[in-house]
Amino acid sequence: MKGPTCEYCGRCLSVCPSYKHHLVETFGPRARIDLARAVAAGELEPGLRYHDAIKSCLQCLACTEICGKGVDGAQIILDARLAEGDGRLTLKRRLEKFVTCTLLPRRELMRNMIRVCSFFQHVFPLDTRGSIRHLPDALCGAAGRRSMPDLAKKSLFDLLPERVMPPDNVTQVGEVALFTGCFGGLVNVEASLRLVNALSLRGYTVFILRAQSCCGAPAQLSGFKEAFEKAQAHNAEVFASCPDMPVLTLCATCHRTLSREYGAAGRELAGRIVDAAVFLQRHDERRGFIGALPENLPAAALLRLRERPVTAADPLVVAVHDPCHFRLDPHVGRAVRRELAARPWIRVVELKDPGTCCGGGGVSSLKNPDIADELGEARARAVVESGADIVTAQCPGCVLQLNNHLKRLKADARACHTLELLGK
Amino acid sequence: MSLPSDIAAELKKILGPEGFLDSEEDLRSFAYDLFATHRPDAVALPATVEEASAVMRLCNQRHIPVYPRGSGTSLAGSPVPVLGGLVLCSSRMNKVLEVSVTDRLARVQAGCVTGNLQKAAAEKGLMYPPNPTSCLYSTIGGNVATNAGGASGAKYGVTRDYLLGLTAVLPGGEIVHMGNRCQKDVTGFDLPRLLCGSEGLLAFIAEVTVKLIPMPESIRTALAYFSDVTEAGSVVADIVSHRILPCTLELMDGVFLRTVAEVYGVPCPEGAGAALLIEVDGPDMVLEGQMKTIEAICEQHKAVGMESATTEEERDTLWKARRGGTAALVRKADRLVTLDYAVPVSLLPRALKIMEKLAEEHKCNVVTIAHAADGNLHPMVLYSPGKPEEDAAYEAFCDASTRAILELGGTISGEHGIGLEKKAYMPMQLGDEQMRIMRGICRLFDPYGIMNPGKLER
Ligand SMILES: Cc1cc2nc3c(=O)[nH]c(=O)nc-3n(C[C@H](O)[C@H](O)[C@H](O)COP(=O)(O)OP(=O)(O)OC[C@H]3O[C@@H](n4cnc5c(N)ncnc54)[C@H](O)[C@@H]3O)c2cc1C
Ligand code: SF4
Ligand code: SF4
Repeated sequence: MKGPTCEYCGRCLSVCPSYKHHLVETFGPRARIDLARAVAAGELEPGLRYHDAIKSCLQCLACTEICGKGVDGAQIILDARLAEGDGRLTLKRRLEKFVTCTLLPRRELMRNMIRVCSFFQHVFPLDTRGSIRHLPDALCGAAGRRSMPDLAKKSLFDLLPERVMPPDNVTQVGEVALFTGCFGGLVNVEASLRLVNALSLRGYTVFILRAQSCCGAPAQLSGFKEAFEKAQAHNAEVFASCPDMPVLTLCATCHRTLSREYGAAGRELAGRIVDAAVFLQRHDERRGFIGALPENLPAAALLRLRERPVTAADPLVVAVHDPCHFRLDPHVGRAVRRELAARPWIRVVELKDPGTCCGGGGVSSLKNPDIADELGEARARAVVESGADIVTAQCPGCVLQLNNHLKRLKADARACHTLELLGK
Repeated sequence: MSLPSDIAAELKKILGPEGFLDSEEDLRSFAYDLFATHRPDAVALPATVEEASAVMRLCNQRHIPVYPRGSGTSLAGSPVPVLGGLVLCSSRMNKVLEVSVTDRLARVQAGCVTGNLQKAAAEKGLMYPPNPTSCLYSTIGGNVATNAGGASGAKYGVTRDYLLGLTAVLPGGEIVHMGNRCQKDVTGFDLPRLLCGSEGLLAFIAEVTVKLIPMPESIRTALAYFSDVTEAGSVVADIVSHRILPCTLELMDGVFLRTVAEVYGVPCPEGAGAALLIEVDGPDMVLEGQMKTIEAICEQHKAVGMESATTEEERDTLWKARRGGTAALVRKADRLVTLDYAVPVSLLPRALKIMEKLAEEHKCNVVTIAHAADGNLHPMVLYSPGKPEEDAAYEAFCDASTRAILELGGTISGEHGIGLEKKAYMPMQLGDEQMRIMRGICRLFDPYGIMNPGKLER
């Protein structure tokens, strides 16, 4: 096993949401790392309990972030999942494999599926919804207590051409490609549209390549190595047709997967991945773009933010939720806060216990609906306590989760993608 | 080995499927701490005092070894089930039961993580001061069982100083409430404090009542550099003789500072061979004067550099040297072992010199930090286990330093405990009579010797 060895200090227990829920060492990072190592070394025959321990990790990266010794616990656990391979192909596992390996990589099929997604709400057994968080969550969301996000009638690819040029009166400054992610491309296209708009106004030509597919995270996180490698090779090839330009993501999980998990086949692409909000912030800081005053914004845009009018004197109170998959890229959170705070109609507030997982991003939280609910409710309460009108995150999974729980708490606050605000 | 099947079945009945674990994966997961590993035969995770009591009664009847465990953050092998048997882990008993502002106390279950107790107290403007570095992940039960201390020990004392009462489950299953909610109490022997530091040898601690104090108004921090550890050590005595008792006085040696400089690029003033991180807390108006006095003392001792902090942000920066330093060292070494000794405060400079000398003699890479105001020093040995000459040097340094500390009139453990690590040395410090009394106490609580066997020679 590569990297430094765990010294069993136990520090990572203090941040692991799954340990805090189960209160059993076996479901904490220290044991998961130890078990993964033992199995890899042939010291332990993996049994059902091993499988459960490895599967129940939320991949929130908190253990990796806190370890003083530099042990990358989350990665070790993920590698253990991949090493397990398909495992026993139970009905549940077959469905999981079908969604992550067959459905997600096929955008055309997906697009049609979304239109008939209500069908899926009944097809997916509760447990299957787990390991596939973002789009599948949308697909199967309405079952049980989970509410359904607003599905796009048309996908981003139906709405926009493959190449969007800046308006004639704006000077061209460069070219970027968009990695839409399944969610941003097919389900909730609002954030993507806002982003494309913001980029055009700043003088960028935006490439929205139709051939791109799922980043492969759902397959990787569910332990399907082959499908993950396929996704990697496919996207690497697709984006090779837009060489030398930054590739912007709208989702923390896509970002993590593309920038950190892509191996040799995707290395070139990995080096070009930038979070879209960070890209806007860097641009604006360099070129001095300042968000318009509320007076100058179209009334409709402001009306939808909150009931009370937004003015410079009574600005929109915005809290930032940091998605787990940016945990190892703390500059993202800083950049987003700076970019939001630069708008005169926004006041940024902090949520308590920064860095806490909401149970909605990444994977597998829905495999353990109880943990997801516990975490989601706690995070929604933190939003209410902060007095924010809106909580933003650069992760569709987090936005969906926070909105569900804010609704359940009957709170006035709501969640939206960071780009929905920055794009205004 | 595994438990006889009838006992396993009985335990399952008592604890339910969630509370009784015996899969190979679970046994592995409750086998270790940082110091040692040994696989138990089964794991019990009681949810209530009654369940713990039923488990203990059964094990006592059938002479099954019981190993109490909190979070397994011990550095001395204390919770490791060296003879197999049953690990009795408190992690599911983790509730804060009560925080009373008028009685100034908190009642918590043993498996409550100490940081959560501190948070609950802080929400009501109160403070639970003992703060071992591991307080965000070790349990209050484990802290009581090891009498854990921390950086603020000199001013605020250690776990024992805050213990008002506890609920213990004796090996026979008896549930005994020791101590009470009174801030003063001289009725009978002080049994809660006898259990404090007993390392799971006497009883399973199920619930703890601790004293709380008002949260201090503010805190001021300074970081001062000196030419060597002796100079820094004498600053400590001087500060205290000026009737100031800092809540933090962390001493770092030259190697430690150089590592911080190297890894974090934090420059360290020229000629610095040691540093002191000093904090005073209390009413704002008093701190101003105290800080001035401390600065003057540091000047007198020819401080080669000094920085101070008033805001939380500045304070974090100064602490970075101390916290980041340990992290940097941990990353640098294949293995870092933190040793733990304490000496009378007046002898701290000498103890530090001795550590330097012994490290040189045994060709060992040793970095020392100290909670200087209470004479608690932590030599940290960096080495690569598995290399015979390095293993031998490590062993030799541990042995020589322990003996040197005893010769100096110090103690072989200030806060980490005895466990397996110091087992052989304890009789040297305590002598036959004290060992006899301790063994007698063990027999009184635990006639069959089922509690944490393999540690104290009985
Ligand atoms: C990085 C790091 C830093 C540390 N810093 C400090 C420090 O600053 N100060 C300090 O004092 N210690 C420190 N420690 C040591 C350790 O954290 C303490 O000894 C702590 O009190 C152990 O608590 P635990 O819950 O992990 O107990 P465990 O490690 O599980 O057990 C420790 C001992 O207590 C007994 N025990 C545990 N729970 C119970 C119970 N409910 N009833 C009866 N017996 C029980 C066990 O049998 C064992 O003998 C540190 C450890 C680490 C890894
Ligand atoms: S992974 Fe790191 S933090 Fe967790 S127990 Fe191991 S060394 Fe400690
Ligand atoms: S990634 Fe998160 S859930 Fe998984 S072991 Fe680490 S801290 Fe726990």
